[in-house]
Amino acid sequence: MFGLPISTFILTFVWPVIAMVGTLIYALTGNYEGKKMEEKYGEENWYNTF
Amino acid sequence: MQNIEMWVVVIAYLAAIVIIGFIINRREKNVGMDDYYVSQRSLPPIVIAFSLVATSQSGMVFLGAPGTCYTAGYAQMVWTCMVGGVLGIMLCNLVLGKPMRYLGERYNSITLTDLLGDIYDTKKLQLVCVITLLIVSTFYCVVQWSSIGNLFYALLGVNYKWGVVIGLLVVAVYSALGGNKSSTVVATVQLFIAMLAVLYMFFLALYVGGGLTSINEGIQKIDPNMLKLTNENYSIWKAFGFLIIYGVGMIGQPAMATKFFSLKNSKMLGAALALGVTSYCFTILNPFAAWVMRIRIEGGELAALTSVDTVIPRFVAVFANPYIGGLLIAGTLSAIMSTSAALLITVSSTFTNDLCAKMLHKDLSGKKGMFLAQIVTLAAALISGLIALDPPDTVWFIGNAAWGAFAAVFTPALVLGLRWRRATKQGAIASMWTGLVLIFGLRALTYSGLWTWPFSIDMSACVLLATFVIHILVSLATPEQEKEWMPRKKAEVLAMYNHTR
Repeated sequence: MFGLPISTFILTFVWPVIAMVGTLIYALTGNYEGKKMEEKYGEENWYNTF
Repeated sequence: MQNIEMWVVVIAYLAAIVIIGFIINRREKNVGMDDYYVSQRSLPPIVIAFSLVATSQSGMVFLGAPGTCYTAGYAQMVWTCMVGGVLGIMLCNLVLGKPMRYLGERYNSITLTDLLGDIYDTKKLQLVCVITLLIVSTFYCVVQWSSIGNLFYALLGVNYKWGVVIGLLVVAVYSALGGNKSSTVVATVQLFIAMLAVLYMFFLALYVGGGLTSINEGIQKIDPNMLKLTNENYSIWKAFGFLIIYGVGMIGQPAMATKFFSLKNSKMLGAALALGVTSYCFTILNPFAAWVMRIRIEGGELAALTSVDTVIPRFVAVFANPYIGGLLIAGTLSAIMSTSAALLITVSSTFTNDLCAKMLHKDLSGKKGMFLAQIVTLAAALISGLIALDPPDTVWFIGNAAWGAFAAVFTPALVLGLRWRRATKQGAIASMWTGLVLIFGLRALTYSGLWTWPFSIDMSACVLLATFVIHILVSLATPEQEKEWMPRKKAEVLAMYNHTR
């Protein structure tokens, strides 16, 4: 792919795109770690929300 | 003076960031150390994310990394930046973000020393924290001033010492004036400039090199190993070591970890994560310019480099439009300045808050604390700057070991302290002192030539893993510690919730 071995291509170009898109979806959906747990049991219990 | 167009852009950039410092100083009503060091815990996610990334990069992204990739190829870029760095930004957000924001507000923590003292409920960690933060950060700062001096010399023909003085004055003024807020807001602007510069350089490299495939074919002709992720010069262990030290080790960098104290709201961590990862990915594309240079140099079209670290300055001088060249210099200065500013705030907060207020019990409330904070920030800049004018060998020894030292001392204490109920203060004390002694002891042995590190895995990565093991073993061997701040286990919360319904 573009003169690169497939493993190099994946880690150089595909992985960063996955990381960017994945974290963007994570942010847009608002599903930050344990949001539901926090809403249900209170922010004091943040430790259990991971 | 080599190029008037470049100077115009660089001077405009330096003036702009000093003006931002003045504006923040005028607008903010800082009345104490809390305001000065953690910005009233009111910063938005974009500022946290961009300043986190800007602080992580220093001169490495524009000078060091392209230089090492010039000879090592894709393996270096992938393991240190694409995977290691991106993973580090993710881990910082996911592991530290929420608990640090929560506990920072709960205990009114300003520094890592404060936080570690609170989560382990002991003052015995203060000494190792203060020693590490004060000495290592100061020398790390010296390395940054030195990079600025070299950059001014290489790109604009300015005498090294004058370069150091210019960089130091600008950073000292905006950091001392506006404290953490000024340093983080300016870092945000700086990262934005750095991103623009890198993207321009990436597309310019593709244009000059005739496209990605053509660049890769050129690299293959020089050395096919440069396209591989591992080869005889770059073993899987070496890759693993870089992944550990740049990925996991990023968690323990104090100038970065303390950014989460200033976040407005923990619900904004998702946005901070996405912005951090995206901006990081856009600022690590410099090696393509280095490879284009290598192809041209090997092909006899350009003269050989005096040092691989000058590959990007040479690329800018040969191929970039002078105004854009000025932007690239500004981008490089941005990367270095943001790190130095964050380090100055770390040194200042450690001296004022940890040493004077907490260890020596001085009353530094209100304006008095604020005034001392500003004076110490300026003094830290002055002292580190004076050392940078003519740095002795020891400075390079300590400064270059700084990342590994912070990683080994703070990463296990933070990760296990915040995330593992069974972690004890004895475990933290043992791991932190062991990390500090091992890093500098082993480096001193190899630096003096008395011993050669026999493994291909990075030494700092091994020490980091060892400190994790020591923390876990000592914690398990000592009585469990009550952590009233750590909420109950999930099952207990559910039981409590069901009981109260």
